[in-house]
Amino acid sequence: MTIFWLSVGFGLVTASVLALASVGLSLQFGVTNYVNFAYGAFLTLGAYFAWTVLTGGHLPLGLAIVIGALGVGVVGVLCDRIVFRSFTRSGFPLFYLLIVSFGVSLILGNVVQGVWGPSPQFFAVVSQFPLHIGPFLLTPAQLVIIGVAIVSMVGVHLLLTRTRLGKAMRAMSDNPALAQVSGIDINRVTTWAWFISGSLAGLAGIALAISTASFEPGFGENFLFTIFAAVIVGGIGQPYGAMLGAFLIGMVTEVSAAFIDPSYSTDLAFVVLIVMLLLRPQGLIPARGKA
Amino acid sequence: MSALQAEGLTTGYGSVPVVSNVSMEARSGEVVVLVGPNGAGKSTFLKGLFGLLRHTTGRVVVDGRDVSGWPPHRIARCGMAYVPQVSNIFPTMSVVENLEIGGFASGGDVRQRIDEVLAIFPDLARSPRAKAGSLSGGQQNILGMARSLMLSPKVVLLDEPTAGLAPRYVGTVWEQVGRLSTAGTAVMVVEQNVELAMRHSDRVYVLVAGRVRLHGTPEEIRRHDLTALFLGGGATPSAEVGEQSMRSV
Ligand SMILES: Nc1ncnc2c1ncn2[C@@H]1O[C@H](COP(=O)(O)OP(=O)(O)O)[C@@H](O)[C@H]1O
Ligand SMILES: [Mg+2]
Repeated sequence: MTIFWLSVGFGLVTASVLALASVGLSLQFGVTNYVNFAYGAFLTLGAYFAWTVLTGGHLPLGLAIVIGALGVGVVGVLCDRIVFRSFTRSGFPLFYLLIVSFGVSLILGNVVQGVWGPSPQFFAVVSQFPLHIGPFLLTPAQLVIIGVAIVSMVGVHLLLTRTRLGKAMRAMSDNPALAQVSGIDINRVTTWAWFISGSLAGLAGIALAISTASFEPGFGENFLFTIFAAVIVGGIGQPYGAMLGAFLIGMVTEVSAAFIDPSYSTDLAFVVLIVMLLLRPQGLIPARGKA
Repeated sequence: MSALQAEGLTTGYGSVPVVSNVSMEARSGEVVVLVGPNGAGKSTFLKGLFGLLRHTTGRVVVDGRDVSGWPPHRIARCGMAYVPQVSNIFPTMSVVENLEIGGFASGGDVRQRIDEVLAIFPDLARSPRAKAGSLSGGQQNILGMARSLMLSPKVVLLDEPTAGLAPRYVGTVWEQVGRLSTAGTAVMVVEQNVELAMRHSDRVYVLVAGRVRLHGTPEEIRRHDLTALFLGGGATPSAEVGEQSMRSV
């Protein structure tokens, strides 16, 4: 029983990291309608940015996290402006963007290798005493991750339902041509979507690095397929679906690790995905706008 | 005065023009109807007017401003509104949110305007929180039209607003078209039903194979054999003569 609750606690942490990542991926997909395979590399960059600010700049961790996350937001905007936008503007089929983003992922991965080297790094916050919270046993860092994820999800909800930008993003996701003729500057909205998506990726990367003790080049890329699983389970392009999918995949992978070999947890994420696709191919929250 | 003026517009998808050298005008308070066989390029022309398709030649002037080559969102801010033939709502957003997006360019508080627009369409006012995608086809078309009125446009383009609608909605649509023109708005409507088009319009343009074959008042148009024009692409001498005589009107 203790093991079970322990793993539920880990599940909450993994779900939190996944939620940050999946919602970011989903927001950008909803607005641009193509999948960004460089998203895993965005996570990696977030961890390295924050780590560099923390160790090199001797700034407080909280500030390092914010700078790291926003830094990846800027990277997202640059990738869009320099690479992706030139393909969408010249009317390439959106399928090509998949391949292009894969190329961007390789380039960013190599940049990370070149700048920070291949050896693993870690955040100094990791060795902290766990606290008993109800039946859970969580470190303060893990609690912060869960808290940051909850605050971010509420933030995304408020963005999408209360702000002009968020509503414009939903309108674009539903019907880009109609959004344009309604007076929405879709270039501007796209830029914001990349910034927010990148920032969430950065935040997720930092959270992932903190929760897994150490990180090395490519660690975000390795996590990408779990993110895809959560996004697809939730209903692609649907931020609320992504939250649900993240919770489901996070819980299943961690709780199962208490009973079966943890090295199978990624495989299990895909078992969930396949079962889900068979039972409910439209995802937990279907994207009616794209049907 | 002229709310919308298109001069020699040539546009299409990719490099092949669908619409060639088309000129049309809609004056304030006027209902202009665009008829023509399926695939003539009526929808394509409207998309070209609104900057959704690049036009290779020609000029579009909205409310006195040359908007040729402008992106659609800037054209919308000039006072032109458009309800596409299909996909004319934001399906996952509520009725009220659809209207908010319609008023997006105003930049300010649009709640009062939403109430005004809902008052015009009591059918929508009954379920303001409903997801637009869950509405009936007729209600969706009405919502599309309501959305387009949010910014009190100078000119409204309606692409087959009555296609597939139940009779009571067809009445509502034409009633609104009439109201808009009375209020001084220029309305350009694509209509499949030629008889209906004639009855509700001030002027008619006949588009066949991407070209204007005929234009004039409904009375003038009635003198021509539209069926032959639609089928034969306007190759009959009478149509050619008719076109010239109309032009000089
Ligand atoms: N998205 C598109 N891409 C390429 N060709 C198109 C597209 N939409 C319409 N067309 C072509 O343009 C021509 C005119 O179509 P359209 O403007 O929809 O005619 P109408 O509205 O008069 O029925 C048709 O030959 C059609 O096949
Ligand atoms: Mg059409």
